[in-house]
Amino acid sequence: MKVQEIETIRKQFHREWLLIALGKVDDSTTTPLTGRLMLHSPHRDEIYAKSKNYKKPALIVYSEDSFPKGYAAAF
Amino acid sequence: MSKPLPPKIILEEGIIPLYVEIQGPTTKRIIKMALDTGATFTMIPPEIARDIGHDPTLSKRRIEISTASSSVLVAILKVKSISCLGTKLKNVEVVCHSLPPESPVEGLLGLNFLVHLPTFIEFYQRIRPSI
Repeated sequence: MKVQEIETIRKQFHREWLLIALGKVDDSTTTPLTGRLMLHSPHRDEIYAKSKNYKKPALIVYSEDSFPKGYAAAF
Repeated sequence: MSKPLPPKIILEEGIIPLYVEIQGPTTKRIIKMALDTGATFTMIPPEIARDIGHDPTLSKRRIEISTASSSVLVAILKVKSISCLGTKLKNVEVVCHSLPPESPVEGLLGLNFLVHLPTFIEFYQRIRPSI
């Protein structure tokens, strides 16, 4: 897999979790800018199973920022 | 004459998601967290704690956290650092607990981090001017 902009990677998927090897990060906002997709899955546990054995810096992120329709947050 | 109202904020996601870097003894992870002024501690999933070199199951410290629906006894441990919005804090206590899988964020950026953010300090001084 090639290095891509993080937002470009996220837009390729719908409601999936992504494990991304970290590239450039904007330190002023802690925003990851580039990375290399390692795994995508609708199941978060599959991402965690792979990230367990990855010892380099990585980003784990969902492809969306919002809850599914019908859900709201009350943490 | 009354002051004009500031522009309304539209929170399309229903939360305020932020990228947060968690550094542990072996490596680091960046995850998305919800800014949560209702959370005493910053909360990360046990799997992320494990990824960065901690084992929450071995943590001798436990704390009872009160969630929106119940109380849970969870591990509390100290990570090497947490960075967000240009602020880096060292030796930060975090609680290990997972949000439901429907959540688009994996953790909560709680008050133990937020009180160090200049933007939050300004916000707090405005809402609690007597302090």
